[in-house]
Amino acid sequence: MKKQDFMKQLLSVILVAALLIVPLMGCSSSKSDSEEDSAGTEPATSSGTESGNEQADETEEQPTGSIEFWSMLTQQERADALQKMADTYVQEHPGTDINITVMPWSGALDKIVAAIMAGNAPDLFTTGTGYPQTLAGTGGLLELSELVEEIGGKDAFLSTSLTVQGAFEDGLYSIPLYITPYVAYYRQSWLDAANITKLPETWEEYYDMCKAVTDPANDRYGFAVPLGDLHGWKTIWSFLQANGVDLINVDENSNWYVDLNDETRAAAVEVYDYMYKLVKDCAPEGTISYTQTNVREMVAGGTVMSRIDTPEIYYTVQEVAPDSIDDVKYFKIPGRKKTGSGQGWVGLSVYKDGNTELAEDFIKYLFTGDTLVDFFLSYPYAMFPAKAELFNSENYREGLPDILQPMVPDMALYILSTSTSLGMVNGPFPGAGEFESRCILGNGLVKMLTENATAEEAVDYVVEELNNLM
Amino acid sequence: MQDKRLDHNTKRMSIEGTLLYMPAILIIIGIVFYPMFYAFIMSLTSYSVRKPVMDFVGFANYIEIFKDKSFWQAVWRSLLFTVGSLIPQIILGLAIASLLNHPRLRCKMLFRGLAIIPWLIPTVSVAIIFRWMFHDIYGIMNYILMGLKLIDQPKAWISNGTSAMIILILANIWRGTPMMTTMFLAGMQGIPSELYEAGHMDGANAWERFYKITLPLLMPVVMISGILRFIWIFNYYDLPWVMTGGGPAESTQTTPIYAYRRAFSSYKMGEGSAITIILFLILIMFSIIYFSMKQRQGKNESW
Repeated sequence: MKKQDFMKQLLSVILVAALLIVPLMGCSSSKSDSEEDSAGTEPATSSGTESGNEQADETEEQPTGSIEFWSMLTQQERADALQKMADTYVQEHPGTDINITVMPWSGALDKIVAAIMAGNAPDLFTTGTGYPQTLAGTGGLLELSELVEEIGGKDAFLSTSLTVQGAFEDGLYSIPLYITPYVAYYRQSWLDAANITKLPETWEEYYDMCKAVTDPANDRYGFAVPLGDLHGWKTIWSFLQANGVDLINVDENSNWYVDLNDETRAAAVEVYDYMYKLVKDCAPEGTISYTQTNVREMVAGGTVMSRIDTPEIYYTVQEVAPDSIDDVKYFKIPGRKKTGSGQGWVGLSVYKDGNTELAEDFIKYLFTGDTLVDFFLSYPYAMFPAKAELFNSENYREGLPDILQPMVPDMALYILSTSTSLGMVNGPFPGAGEFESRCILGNGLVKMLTENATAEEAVDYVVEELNNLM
Repeated sequence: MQDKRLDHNTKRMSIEGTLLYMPAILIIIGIVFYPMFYAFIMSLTSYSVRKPVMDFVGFANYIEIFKDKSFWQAVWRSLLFTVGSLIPQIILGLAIASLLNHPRLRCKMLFRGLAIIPWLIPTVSVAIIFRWMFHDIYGIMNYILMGLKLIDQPKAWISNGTSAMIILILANIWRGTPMMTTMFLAGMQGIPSELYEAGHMDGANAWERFYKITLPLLMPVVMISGILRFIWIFNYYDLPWVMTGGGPAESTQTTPIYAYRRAFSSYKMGEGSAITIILFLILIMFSIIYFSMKQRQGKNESW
């Protein structure tokens, strides 16, 4: 009995010890792995830090080690093109490794924020509109002014793609990789059937065009806007811009505020009135809940004729109705007080506490010569070079599909030079990401459509939400 | 002497037992209590991702949340969604369980297996299926309803706040009823068949047997299942998020979505944490009811 009791006791102690030690071993081994990673690299310091002088003698040495690269460019063509560039870089730079993880945009900002807060963010990652402004505040992004100088300087990048979209306060935190203009799409066959021979140049003409082709009994609608997800802002923002409404401004003390005087408020009300009429008379009732994908599929499938979008819509047309790809055309969004549009934007940011030297060197490699041209041409409808010299590259222009030839360079450059991203007319608004994700502009219009709110009430709602955001 | 040896053995077994369950306690402390404690601390600060500084602000976040009408609207919607889903789940669960428990039902295993299928489908898939079924142009429901002349033109079900909430509840009922069916069926298996025979001999019809025998004896299971499901449904995030995103214009924004938006869209972690603590306290009340009922049930059984 005594021996049995002793064995039971011993077994209990061994089991308890094993259960306690195993997790500790797991923790210590992951810690030593990360120590090994950092040991194989140059010290993870940003340019111009205290150890910069110590590394002065080492600047000619190639960065080594590995980097983790999170890319939200999920389409196979551009994922492959990005991988190819990474593989080529690795081949040319022995001792390096670039591990690309592809993930969707949905939830990506949250993942990056969580990773930065946890201290294990990827060394390099793609960023969307508003990301640099949100992430820079966390203190997790590397300031990239010196890198920008090395790859051509601020003026090398188109319009506000770097100095506003990639900036936060006085620093640059994201290198623009690509931008895309918004244009209005239409179906030539629908206009022919409605005897419309002239493309609209005013808002009224655009409404008349959409109304003329709308036939709900046959499931044909002139217009749609994705109010069911955050992409609805693109259309509304384009019209606000066209009517001279900036919405947000910053004072000399760097305090952001909602900037609406009587005139601009009236202009904002006019936009909402117009959007309400356009949606009510020309869009399916369900547009209130449609996502961007839904609307693209409906345009491609021939249920909706027109929407405001980037050229990426052509991929949906290719998938859903490839025979009609020549029927889907585009024109510049009709201006009013000025040309209005928006722009899609994607950049590259570096994690401050990662392998910054290797990450920066890889970015330098990407922006060397025509390295990125094949990448842009792998998925040309969705990516236009943010760097001016690549936009003008013959290799790039010659490789573009026929449908895009009329757009590049003149129309695209014009639109991109006059457009801004959401809330960024007067500078890199830190709340741009939140402005977008909370669907503030879209919800104002939805309230008009579902709660019979007036345009004034819709603008009041937008102002109230923006003030809360400030 | 013998008493002393017994005491010594008891004490040793008690120490051994404590050592054996201590790792589980430590894990629970690590993954349950520590995050809750940290969330509570964060709820007392102005922590924001954009400026990661934890300044103590006391209960200011809670006051801010309580002053926000969107919070109360979200709580109301959560209650509507929860109660609106739970009552039909209980009624349908009882009905289906009664059918599956019927002595004359053939192929019982087949039907019991089929009844559980909605529960096996991932919530995201359910949300997408229902979203497409009720699509205003491509949805099959409009096609069926127009064919039956119940509506004269297609309706945009998810584009209207009221109908969007109804569709959400329908989807939740469809998905959650199998769970209730299973729990009630298990409870019914424990009711002695002699009671039904006695009832039959006394001239009770099917409804009377259900109402006077099944329901009273199943009531403890119904109550406990109901409380648990209430807590689960109130915390549901995935179904409303995927199906409507909290829209149109926040008309289906339940409390978990509100908390998510506050924490991850606005990046106000302090306020987000405060909302989760408030949610936790609301649900703690229901947990207390659950444990009280469980205790009462235990006492009744011991009698």
